[in-house]
Amino acid sequence: MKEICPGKNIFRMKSLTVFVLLFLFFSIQNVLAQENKICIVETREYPGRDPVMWDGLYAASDGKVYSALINEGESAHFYVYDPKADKNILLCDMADFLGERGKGIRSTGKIHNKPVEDNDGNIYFCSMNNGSGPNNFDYTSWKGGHWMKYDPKANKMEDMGLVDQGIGCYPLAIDKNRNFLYGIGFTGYFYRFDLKSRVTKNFGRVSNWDICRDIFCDDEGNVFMSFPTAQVIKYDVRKERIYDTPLLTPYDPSIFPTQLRNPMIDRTNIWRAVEWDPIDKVAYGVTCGSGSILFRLDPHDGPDGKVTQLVKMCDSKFLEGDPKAIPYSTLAFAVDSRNKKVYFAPSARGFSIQSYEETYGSREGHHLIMYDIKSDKRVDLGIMQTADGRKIFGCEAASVAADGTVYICGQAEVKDRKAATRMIGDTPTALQLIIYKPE
Amino acid sequence: MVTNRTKTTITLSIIIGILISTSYGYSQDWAKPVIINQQRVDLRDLGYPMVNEIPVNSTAITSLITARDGVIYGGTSGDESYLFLFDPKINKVRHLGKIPGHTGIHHSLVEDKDGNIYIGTGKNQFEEVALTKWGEGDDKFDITLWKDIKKHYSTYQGGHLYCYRPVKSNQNVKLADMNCEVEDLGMPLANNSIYALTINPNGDEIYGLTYPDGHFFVYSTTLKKFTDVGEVDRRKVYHGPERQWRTLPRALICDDSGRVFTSGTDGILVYYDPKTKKIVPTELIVPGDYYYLQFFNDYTAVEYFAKDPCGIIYGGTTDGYLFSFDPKAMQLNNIGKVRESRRLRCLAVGKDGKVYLMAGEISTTRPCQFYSYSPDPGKFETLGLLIADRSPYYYWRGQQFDCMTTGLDGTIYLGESERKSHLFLYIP
Repeated sequence: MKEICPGKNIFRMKSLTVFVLLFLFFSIQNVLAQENKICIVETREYPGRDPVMWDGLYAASDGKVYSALINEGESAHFYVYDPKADKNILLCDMADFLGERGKGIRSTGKIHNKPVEDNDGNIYFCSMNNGSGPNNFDYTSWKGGHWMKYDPKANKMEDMGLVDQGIGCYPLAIDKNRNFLYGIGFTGYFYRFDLKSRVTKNFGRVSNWDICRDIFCDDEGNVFMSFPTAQVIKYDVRKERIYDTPLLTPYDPSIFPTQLRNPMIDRTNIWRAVEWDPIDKVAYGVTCGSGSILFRLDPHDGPDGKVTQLVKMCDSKFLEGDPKAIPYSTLAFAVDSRNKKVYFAPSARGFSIQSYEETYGSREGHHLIMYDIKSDKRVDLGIMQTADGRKIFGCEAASVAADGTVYICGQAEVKDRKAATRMIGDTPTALQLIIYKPE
Repeated sequence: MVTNRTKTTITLSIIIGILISTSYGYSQDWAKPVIINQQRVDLRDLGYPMVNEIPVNSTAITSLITARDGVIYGGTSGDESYLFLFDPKINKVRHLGKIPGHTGIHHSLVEDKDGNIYIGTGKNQFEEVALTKWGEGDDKFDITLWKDIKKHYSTYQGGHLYCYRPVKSNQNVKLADMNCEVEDLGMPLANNSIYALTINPNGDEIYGLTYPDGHFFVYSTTLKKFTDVGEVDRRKVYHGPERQWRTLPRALICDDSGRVFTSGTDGILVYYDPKTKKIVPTELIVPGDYYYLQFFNDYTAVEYFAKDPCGIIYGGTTDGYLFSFDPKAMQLNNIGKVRESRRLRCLAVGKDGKVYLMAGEISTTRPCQFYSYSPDPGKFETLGLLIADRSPYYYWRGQQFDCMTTGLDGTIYLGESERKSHLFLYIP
């Protein structure tokens, strides 16, 4: 016969309730603490007034940081930040350099790739227009994107020639051993530029309408790209052909697409950013849709390589909330291969079922997320903010310097309204170089 | 109480909201479809995905025909050439195997009176030809270019004519590395691709053109014998827009009486007379773009042909012009050009009487666009980019096309010609 002891049970129930409440309280506190944690950053202004940029940030081996900023309908601008001088300097007004000013023609209003560096320290990037207009100018008046070289030793910018008539490249990669640049043009074709012979070759179409924004070249010279839906395709350097691979990046189709008015297979169905880790000989990337999932792509694991899903890199508030609302990823993604860390500044915007929304312009606090490769842990470093209390908003590019300093480009609050390129609510903001120095 | 000021504010907010949502809502779709009824555009993969598709780099569709039983046959160019079919009954593409040793099937599929399919093979026309900077001795540039083209073909034995028998082979499933079940009928001209084919109304005599030498040949299906009739064009011109191609006609068509039409020297419309077995020039010139202020002796060529049920022939030229031709009256009518870009790549006459055409050069920035022409009252309609949107299952924008055919039900089939291509369908 069972002993009936109601008082003891009531005591047990009370204890359990208290435990659960305490657990919930501390969990919520922990989440709130994470959400409210401040990540102190520094900012450096640019001398120009470019309102947007995507992906065009690179911390070079000599410590200098190159930024490609965009003034659509006018000109893209290429800047360099020298940590010693602690100043951003304009290196090139692209429309001026390419002789496009004062001719009534469409101009190089955009640079949409992370610059790359060769073994001699030369910096390369690719110019483009790709929708930056002026859209009331004859489309055919734009000559096309140029393969660009900057020699920091000689302080010389060089136009190495057209990519293609009326075409500039979104992503850019370099094969340092063979001296090839690779890019994907506005209409989805894959180009190789031979730095020695200065010849461009088109290897065919590799992208759907919403172009793959980042590609990488592995240690063998193969180039990897993302193709919807979540497929990985590969340029085989030995065969000089592009093939489908059986590799798939992580994919969650239940996340909201870019827009719901006319949802279609677009950037949310491919990876957003990817970077090769030359030390471990693997790539790290983040999906565009699907909740910003970090993955590792090891091209040497097995006959076709292997993709491993790691963690979600979205803003922490989305981890607990409705996963559907996770916005698509930004391009503010960078790998610190020496210190084994991956950094990502995700979008903090919400999702509107009625309209398309961009990362820029969101008034939410923007966090910096770090993934520690060694411990396989995601760390929310907190809301980015300067020591004098200025807020950081949407970010669209990142790169890690050799000393581990993380450089990001994004919208920063400015005190002087005249210096603002955009108002976010009542807050004047401008694109600035954001500097995070890990402890 | 709602004041007038509040009402105005609300109204303005709504208007601004609509404007903002409209502009942002469509800002992502930067190539807008023109065809309003988008459900009328669709595509098919060239096989069952990831299992037995025609491999990428071998999928550029460069030949299409509609067989009398309604099955669509296609041929591809690339690393290897494949034959495939689209059977409307199963609503799928199945490939029928590759044709080893050949990399192109360019405008070269015909059906004979017994339902057999004849395939003319060659080299992949899109393959890059290595152009030399310095000729031999003091060769002029045109001589150097011709030698480069000839050199490109010198290692290629030559295109063959093959016979595929659907009754025997259509039911056999092929994996990607399996060969097509064809009978080799031989080679019309060494070191030449077969560039275009057509067949007479009786379905027993096949006519072909070769590239780069531009010979016209005849193959009798009963005698199983080739006859080389000679060159269709006595000059070597490079009218473009492709810089590495000799300008030669890329299509042939038989009228109802059995005469075989194409273009020849100086862009003149010529025909092969099966009675005299000779090529006869007409006094008609196919329309092209010429700059009369300049010195030139190059000219356009026919790119594609289609015939309407009344026997009127429609043709497209390498300069992008559409023309109609009445072979009984021997009258040619220059209908005009739909866009600035050159090349009218392919066309087909629909069951609705309209002529559907794909115009545009091999350009990454100004790709092919789709148009229709209504003979009565004589007007073009822009149909824009062909976009197949079945998101989230598939979505693709067609940018390059090189062949077209009309299905028995009026569906227009279009062969995409890219690294990874699809069979497009447009239901008028």
